[in-house]
Amino acid sequence: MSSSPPVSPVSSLGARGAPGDPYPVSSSSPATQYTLLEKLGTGSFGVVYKAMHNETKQIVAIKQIDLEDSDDDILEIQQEIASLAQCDSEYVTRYYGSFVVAYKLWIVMEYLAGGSCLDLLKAGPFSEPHIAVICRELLYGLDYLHTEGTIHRDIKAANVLLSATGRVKLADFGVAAQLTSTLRHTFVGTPFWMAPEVIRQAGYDAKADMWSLGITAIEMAKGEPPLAEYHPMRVLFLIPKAKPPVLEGNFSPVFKEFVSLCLTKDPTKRLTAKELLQHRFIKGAKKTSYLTELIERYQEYHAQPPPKVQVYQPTVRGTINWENNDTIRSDWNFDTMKSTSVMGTFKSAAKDVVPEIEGDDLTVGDQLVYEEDQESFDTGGAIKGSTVTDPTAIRLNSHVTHSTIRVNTVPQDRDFLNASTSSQLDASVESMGLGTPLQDGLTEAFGVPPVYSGSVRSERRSSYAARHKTTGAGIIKQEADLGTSLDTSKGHAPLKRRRGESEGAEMAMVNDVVLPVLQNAIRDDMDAREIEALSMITRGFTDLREVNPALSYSVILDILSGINESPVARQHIQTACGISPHKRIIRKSEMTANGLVVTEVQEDVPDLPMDSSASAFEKTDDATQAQKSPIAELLYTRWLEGLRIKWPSILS
Amino acid sequence: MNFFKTKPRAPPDLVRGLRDVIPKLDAGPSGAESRRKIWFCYQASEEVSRNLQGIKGILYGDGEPIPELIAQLAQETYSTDLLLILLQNMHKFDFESRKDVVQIFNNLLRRQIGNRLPTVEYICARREDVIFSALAGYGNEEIALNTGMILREMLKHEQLAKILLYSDQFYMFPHYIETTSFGVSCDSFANLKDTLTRHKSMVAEYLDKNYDRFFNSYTTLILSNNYVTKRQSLKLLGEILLDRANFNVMTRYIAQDANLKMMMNMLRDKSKNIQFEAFHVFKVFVANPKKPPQIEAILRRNKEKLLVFLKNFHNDKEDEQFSDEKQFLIVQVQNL
Repeated sequence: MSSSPPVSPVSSLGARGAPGDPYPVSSSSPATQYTLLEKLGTGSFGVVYKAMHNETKQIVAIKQIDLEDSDDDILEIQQEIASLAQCDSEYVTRYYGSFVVAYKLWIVMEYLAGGSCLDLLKAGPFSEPHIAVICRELLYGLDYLHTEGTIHRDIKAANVLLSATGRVKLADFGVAAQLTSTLRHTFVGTPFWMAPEVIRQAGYDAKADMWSLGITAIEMAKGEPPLAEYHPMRVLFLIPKAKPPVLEGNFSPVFKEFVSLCLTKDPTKRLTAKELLQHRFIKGAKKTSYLTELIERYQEYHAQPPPKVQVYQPTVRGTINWENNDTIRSDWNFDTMKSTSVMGTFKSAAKDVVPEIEGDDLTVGDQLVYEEDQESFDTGGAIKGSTVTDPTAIRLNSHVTHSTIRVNTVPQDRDFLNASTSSQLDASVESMGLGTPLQDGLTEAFGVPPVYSGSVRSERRSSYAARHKTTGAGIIKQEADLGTSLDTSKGHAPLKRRRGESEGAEMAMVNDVVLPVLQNAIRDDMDAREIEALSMITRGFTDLREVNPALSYSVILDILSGINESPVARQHIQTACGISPHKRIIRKSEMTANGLVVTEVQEDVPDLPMDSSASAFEKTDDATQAQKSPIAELLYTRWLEGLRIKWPSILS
Repeated sequence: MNFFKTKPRAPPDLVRGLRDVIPKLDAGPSGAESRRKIWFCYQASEEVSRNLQGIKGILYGDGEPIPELIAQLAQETYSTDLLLILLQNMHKFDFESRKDVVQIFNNLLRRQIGNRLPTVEYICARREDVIFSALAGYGNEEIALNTGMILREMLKHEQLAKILLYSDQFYMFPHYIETTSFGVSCDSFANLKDTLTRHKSMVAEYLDKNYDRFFNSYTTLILSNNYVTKRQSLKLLGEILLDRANFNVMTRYIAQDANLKMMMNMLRDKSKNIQFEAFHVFKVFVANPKKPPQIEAILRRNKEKLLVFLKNFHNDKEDEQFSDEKQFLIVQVQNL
């Protein structure tokens, strides 16, 4: 028997343990086996360094997690490492080992010089052929993981790394889960990329990764994921409710079909990785070496002197132009959230989100060489002259930190996020500690909290990361500004002062007329942006009702008289024959099919919420038709009637 | 490579084939030149992996598993002591084969006929070594996570956990936890925790009977220089002591002044997490309504310092239960 080298020929046949790989050797000071070279960025729960394995001179990536900062059970972190250690695939970043230095866990991983797809996107969106190659490689990787019984749970451009030669690898198993036979309920991932069933916490399986792949494909094509203009917490509400996002724009039908197959809302109907590998979009993809173009393009982009105003960051836009937003770089914090309970440690996750610009936490190893180019990190721009040798280094823009949400609690009410009671969501958001910095920043930026944070774009985006730095600057009394007014209104403290009677009537106008109308207009299969717009109006009316009911009342009347006075609007109403809430819904669906052409049909909607006054209204509506009289008058009459029934004393 | 799945082989062939090829992994014919030797090893390795795949195929199957085949396979593994051989030779297998072994092992362990667990019975009755070999896997970093998974599956069964707990080998845990790399250390700690928390009454009886030996050994973990070990073992200590089943053990533990001193020192550890875990043990000493004189003396002697300390202790924690407990302790100390 050979008693010679510890590595038997057989075990060297295995992919792991091959001599010459930069594995840490167990010793009292494993950190000395590596030399930290530069900081690559701040990941979901730690800082990542480029480092050299001293013995083999190989370059590795080292992720440092401060265990003292983490409220997580260490055994949980270990579970994640263990599942990574069980992976041996071309398509998954290789794990070399891990060890603890003082309070920090060092995880040694394969270094990929090409950077992440998110980095590469800084030079602009990818072309369709590039995306096809990346998607194919990702599908191989996902197929491997899913066959191994692992769900990645956090697929997004930031977690897709490229080697210098263009090989594509999945990274960041921070949140990967071992798939048991049962469905999983843990709430984990990054909102924009999360599958509806994950958000709904109704149980999910490997198919959740396929949804995220679809979102990632859109991200690569457009530069950012769908709904990027909304707050991540808001997105949690929108994804399960709205119809799936669609790849819009000048792309081939094959690509669009591929994306729509990934973005199938019903996970049972969504295709698996294996099935999608057979798709034409994938079948026609080129070799991975083709992806070096993306890396070169990024290098060129980086070599240019950083423009004052970034090329892909146009100045403030007055209107949200969705179709053109592929040129808008989002400075959102696309955080992967991670928290051990709903009420638990979101705060610690929020801490992770704070970009560590100043933080030099290399107190541990004095003998370590450390060359962080502080300047470039600060500006998020060019590389310091001396580091031209490595222009491909992964550099996280200090504004765009991507970290991960996780809520381990299996809620009693599984549908708690879907129940459209986003007041619940609000409550949890607030208790998670997000409310404070968020509000803070908003107050900072505008003086007053805006009606809905998503309505104003560039300013708050760019300030988001900055806002995190101001954590603790003040106490915010309002609730988190994320829900629809309908929902959050429940949370408002009951008004203390007794309202006057007329005020009651004005409140009723909003409560009984406007809000139900708006609520009825929101349907589940609508586009997320439609839902969001209606939610914002709802929110506005709710707030106005609280602040100044009389004003909300007069605004409504002004709108009506405005319609009355505008010939165009009147003309439209007369042909449209119906501005009542339920009619609007009908027209809405017709609008998608026929543009602005509205039918004359007087459809009666069975689930009409307006009970008593409704029938009266129908009559008057007919009268409108006949007389061509302004509908505003009639609506006004109707409201007065409704009010009279409820508060006879006021208006008599 | 396509000749894998062409002909499904019968369980006895697979099991015996596997058993017979394993020794060939070590070396080719003696005296053969090294290249030839590597070739032999390579072939043996391929055959190991083929056989394992075959066995896995029977157990997991593409369609419905066939009970007769599985029964035959199980019988064959028992009669050849295959499970033990697999564990003892796992380090010679390639990466994927090791994972196959885990899957095969755990499937067999879970196998149930009515109320009977044949594999568990087999290990109990004839091959306790299987448990100890799985534990010994922690001695080899390369396979430690695989054998750890097997051990975890075994510890789910009270009979097997009991064998390990009552053995001398059980006291190898601190050694493995202290000497291995982070991943392996954590894995072995997880199994130590499973051994001590899964089957409560069995463990309570053991701890009561073997109090000194156990805590002498366990204290080395609490005093470890390794932050992770220290933090985790303190946390587990708290869990053990606060478990109802371990009431007797707790009473003994909180009667010893050395333990109190240790916890009071830990309260002042540099690490916030260690302070916090120590608090959860310390509180039991203070909350004890029948404090032995030596305990009360120490607390009384430090009364003022403790009051100041507790009032400033982790005030930033937004944990209501913790705040309540701290408040309770302050009152207790005040009343000394």
